[in-house]
Amino acid sequence: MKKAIHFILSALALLFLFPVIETFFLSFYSNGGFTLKAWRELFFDCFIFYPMFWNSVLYSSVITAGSLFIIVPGAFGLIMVKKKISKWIFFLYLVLMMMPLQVTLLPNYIGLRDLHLLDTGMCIILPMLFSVFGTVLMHQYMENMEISQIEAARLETNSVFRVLLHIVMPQMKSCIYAVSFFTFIESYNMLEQPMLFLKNKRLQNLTVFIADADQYTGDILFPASVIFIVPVLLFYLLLHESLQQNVCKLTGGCL
Amino acid sequence: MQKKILIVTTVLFFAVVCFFTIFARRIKEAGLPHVYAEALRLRTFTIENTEPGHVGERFRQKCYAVPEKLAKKKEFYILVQGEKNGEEVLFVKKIVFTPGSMEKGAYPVLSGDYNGEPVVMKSDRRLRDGEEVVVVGTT
Repeated sequence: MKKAIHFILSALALLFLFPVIETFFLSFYSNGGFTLKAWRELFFDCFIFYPMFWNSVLYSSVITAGSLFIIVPGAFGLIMVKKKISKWIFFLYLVLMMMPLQVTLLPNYIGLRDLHLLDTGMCIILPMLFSVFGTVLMHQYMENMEISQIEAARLETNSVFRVLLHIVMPQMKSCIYAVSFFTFIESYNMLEQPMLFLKNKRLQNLTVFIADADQYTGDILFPASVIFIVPVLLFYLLLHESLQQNVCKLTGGCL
Repeated sequence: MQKKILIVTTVLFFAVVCFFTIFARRIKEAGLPHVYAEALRLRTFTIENTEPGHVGERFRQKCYAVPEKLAKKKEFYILVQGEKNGEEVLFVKKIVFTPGSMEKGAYPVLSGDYNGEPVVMKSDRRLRDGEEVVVVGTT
């Protein structure tokens, strides 16, 4: 029975991996044989790819790092303020989290237009810094935090920042990794925001490049997709242990 | 150990992309034909009429003056600006023309689809119609 389940799960895993494997092999396939033509076309014939790739990396990195500065204190504040208002704020966060992206796009657009930030890198970074999902996830994780340690620390210092840095953050390590990973993925994969907020192609990201791949000459779609996958894959592999621990803790089970 | 390999792979990956970001254009341009181009000048030539009934008559007309080297081939390549993958690039377009008689070291262009575009005067290799080129300068 166990073997059968393993077999079914492995088959399913392969099925889910199939598009990735296919993309990889198709990037080396053209006119019925193995060739590096598509890679050559991407690297040496499509220079717009480079700024778009670096934009993806830059936007995602800045958003991931910047959002942690907002998520961690935000979630900590919601946990520590034992008043009704914090529950209401958390409820609002949940409502916001449930909202589809398309609903928030127009208010974001209007806000960015009024701030004269459209067609700049900031119009991508700024709205994404305030990740609702990250705050909710961090809040849920912090509910299981050792409050006694914080109370003991408060006897030693009045600085909330020091308590956050020396007591809360070490306990939140695996959750911070998880939130970083999810934020990175979310910002790395964003498509609608750069398409709507950025007219300048040199400021757009790799997702837009792949979505518009038919505009470019040559078979660049597959090699571009392979390169697109690599940073996320590397980021996942670097964090996967912490990520698994965190998911185990949140779900109460183990992967 | 596994983490070290991963970190090295990550650094290598970004280093490779960084390398291509900086050098891909130079590598590509090194593989393209390098040409010297110059627009042909308009000059007044004495043209012999070949129309029936007027054969042998001569008249003065302003024509583009093409150097002897290009006139012998009866074809030259002009530079055409085009767009490729969101970038402006230069292509060559073959123009077949009819030269007239030589005057002061140059031949008049009597016919052909030429309207004063830069003409490839010198190239480091044989050109093909529609090929992308790099302009090094003027002769």
